[in-house]
Amino acid sequence: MRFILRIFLIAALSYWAQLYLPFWIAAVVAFVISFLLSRRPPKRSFGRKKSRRSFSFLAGFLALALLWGGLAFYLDHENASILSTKLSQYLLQAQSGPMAGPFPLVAMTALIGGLIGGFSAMTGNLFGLAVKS
Amino acid sequence: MRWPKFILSLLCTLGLLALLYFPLATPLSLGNFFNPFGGFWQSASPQDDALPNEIELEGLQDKVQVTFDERGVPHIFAENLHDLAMTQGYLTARDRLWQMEFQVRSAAGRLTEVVGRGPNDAVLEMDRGFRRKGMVMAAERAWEETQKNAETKQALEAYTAGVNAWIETLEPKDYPIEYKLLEYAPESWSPLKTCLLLKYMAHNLSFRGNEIPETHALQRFGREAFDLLYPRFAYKEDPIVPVETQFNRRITLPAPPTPTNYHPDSLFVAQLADEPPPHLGSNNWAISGKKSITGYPMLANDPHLGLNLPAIWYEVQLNMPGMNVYGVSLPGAPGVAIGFNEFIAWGLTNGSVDVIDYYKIRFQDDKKQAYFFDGQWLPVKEEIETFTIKGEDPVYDTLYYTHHGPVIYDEAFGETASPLALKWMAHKPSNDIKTFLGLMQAKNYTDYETAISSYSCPAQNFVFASVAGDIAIWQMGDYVNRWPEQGRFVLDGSRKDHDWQGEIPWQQHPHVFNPREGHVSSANQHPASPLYPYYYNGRFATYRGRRIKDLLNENDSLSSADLQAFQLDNHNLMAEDILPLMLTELDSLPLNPQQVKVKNLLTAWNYAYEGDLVAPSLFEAWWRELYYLIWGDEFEGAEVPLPWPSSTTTVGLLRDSVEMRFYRTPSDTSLKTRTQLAQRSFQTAVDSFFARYPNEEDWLWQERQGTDIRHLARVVSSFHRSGLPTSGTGNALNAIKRSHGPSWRMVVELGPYPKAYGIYPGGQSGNPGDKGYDQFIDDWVEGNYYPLWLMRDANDIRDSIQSKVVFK
Repeated sequence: MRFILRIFLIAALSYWAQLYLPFWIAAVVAFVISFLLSRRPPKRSFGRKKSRRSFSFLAGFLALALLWGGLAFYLDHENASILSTKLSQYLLQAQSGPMAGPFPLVAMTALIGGLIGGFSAMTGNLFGLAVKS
Repeated sequence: MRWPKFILSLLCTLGLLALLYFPLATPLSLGNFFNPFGGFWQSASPQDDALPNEIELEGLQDKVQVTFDERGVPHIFAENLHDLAMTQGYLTARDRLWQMEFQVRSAAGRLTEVVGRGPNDAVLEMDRGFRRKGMVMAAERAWEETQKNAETKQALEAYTAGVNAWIETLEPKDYPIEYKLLEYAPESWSPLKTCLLLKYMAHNLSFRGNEIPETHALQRFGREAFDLLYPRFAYKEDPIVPVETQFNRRITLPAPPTPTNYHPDSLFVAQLADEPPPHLGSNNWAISGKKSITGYPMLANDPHLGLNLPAIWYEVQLNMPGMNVYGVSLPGAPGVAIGFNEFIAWGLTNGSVDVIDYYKIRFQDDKKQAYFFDGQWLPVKEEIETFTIKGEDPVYDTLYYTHHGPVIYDEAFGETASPLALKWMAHKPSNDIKTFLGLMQAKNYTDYETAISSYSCPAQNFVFASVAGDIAIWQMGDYVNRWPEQGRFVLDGSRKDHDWQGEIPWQQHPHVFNPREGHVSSANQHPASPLYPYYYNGRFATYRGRRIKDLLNENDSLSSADLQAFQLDNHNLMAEDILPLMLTELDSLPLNPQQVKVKNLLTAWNYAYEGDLVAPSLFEAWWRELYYLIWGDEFEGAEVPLPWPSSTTTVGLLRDSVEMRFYRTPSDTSLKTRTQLAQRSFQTAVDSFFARYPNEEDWLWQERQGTDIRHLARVVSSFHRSGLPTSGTGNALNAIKRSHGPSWRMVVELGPYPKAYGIYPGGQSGNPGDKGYDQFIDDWVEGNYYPLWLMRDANDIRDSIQSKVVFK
């Protein structure tokens, strides 16, 4: 549940903040949410601790990958892929096939968003753990 | 224990963000570009993108109603000129902001700011060229002149306010995609920028400094050969004004006296500034009611310009009390340039008369603070031009101004032996917007004549037709009253008698009004016969002009469909003039089977440059080979720019001479006669054609020529529309070439209510991510036309209305 909540909070707040501020604000949002929701790992096993950190990365990654990829997908759909097709043809030098369509650009957008979210969330979480320990 | 992990993670994150934020590994900021909230995705406009039904536009004096039709053409209904121009500015900026700004940046020599130096400094050199041509000075003078007229001042200021109102609605995420790719932001518009755009057009249409190469040629070949290679009137000229016209009784102004002991002497300019491509041409004509099937005049115009995306034209209807006009506008300037209203129609072709002169300057010393003129030393005005370069330190260039104009070539530019100052009619203060406002509101011949009488530069052939039954054509623009050959060669900047001494009164410009033949036309040919009493020179086309006159003389009861067919006519008179002779020369040549096939194909050909024919490809290959065989040894690789003789002249020489000095080739003494040249060029051309293109589909003319319509920035290749299967050639009426051609085809039937048809190769939207970007191109290639909808009033209805907007 907590994992879903994290994803939802990061995505929703990033969406709101990005309407007004440049892309790096998403990193700040992911960092802050993860910091606020960071918890000292329960003293059970070594393995759980590790997975907790990767969970925060995964939550941040998924939140922004879904947000960026989803928005890109929506805008592309509304545009009937006119622009994305031209840009993939240019950037990837593909004349036809799936690489000349919207797919590579939507995926790349999701990946970039995901990496920003993942790393920032992981850092926020680690910061929380460091401060609270 | 946890801090090191945190710090490591933080560094990774910051590193990632830095990599995305700064254009380190990539030419642009990946984070900004891919961010779907602000980057390129925001330029992917929705399919049903429309303005809101109501827009508040501050500064409007009254309500403005706009209807967009299914092709995205705005039909603007305003109560006054101010509101009309303001709304036009707003809507044009909405569709074409980046293009407007980019063209004007180019004109001002400021492209390096946004694209850098370019490969081999190409962009920087182009910018330097534009500054040295005095473009900004010309625009400043034009704006000063424009402000003297209340109507034109208001139009430019209101248009500017409209453009800036649109820019103010934009956040960075809304910028056109080109700004995001090149990472810069729009600047605000100004009336000066509109004037710069007009000077940019003047440059495109009139900046041809033939005198430098021709002076080189005169030195190299001597006078007799020069006259043979560059005759003032070439083979079979058919001027705009019918040859039998008598001029002499009208002349009032004598030519200035020809200076004595002037010999255009040694000159050397190795590197000329960028010039617009030669042979930009256009066709226009009007037929009177007795030639047309409707009994009313009809008018046709197709200006041939560089074909780019976004297209150079933007369609619009402009309506206010007393005016209802439809046509194409230049994005960046108010009004329409070519169009029609309920009473008249007008069209333009380029005048092609030389309005540029170069003056050799003698500076006092290396400090260049004074130059010699008429027995004394005159002061030089010095200005330092700064070139801001994207991502690099600025570059400086010093400009020197004489009373002739700016020194364009000196030791810092053009590798010239002596400094040359530029005198160009576009530098003269002028108010050319006034002409177009006048034409838009014209109701009859008198209004048209009044409107064009003040027109200055670039000189145009204004064709005209009215519902009252008049047709006319005037070549209008300021022309110098020259002594014979003044300005044909580089002039002496120290002599007073070499200065411009007055202009030809506009009433005596070449013109035709309601001629007996029932038609008037122009296609960049000579304006008048040698009987015309004033001296002028220029570089003129011949074949299209002759073809139009032939078609209009031979046909009666013409419909608008006929006129469209004429615009699409692919018949090349040049081929008709020379090919039969070339084929005859093959009679004595033993041919192999392949050559026989080619000969038969060409013999059967009707000189039509249809895209799906092979014959035009073969003729062109042969002709090019023959042309190079004649001229290559004289002109290829010359150390100074020399003008290659025109194809018209070459055709004339070939028809006239079996043997000639220029046929001879030093490297091959077996080539002496026309027969030998024709035979050798045929063999070489045929053999190399089939060796080079083994596949049959590559033989078609549309493959050999074809058309590429490229995006203006030349950065993203997929924004181009390349390899279009077009028909036509530069000397046919359908003057399509690889990157130039009919930029707007328009046919207007005047009558109780005008009917008109038109198309341009592009689309109303300037956004490569919009379906309207290249919407018309396929129809243009096919030769289709759209009916142009001149709405009667703001409530006029048709089923193809896309949306309506009210501005308050």
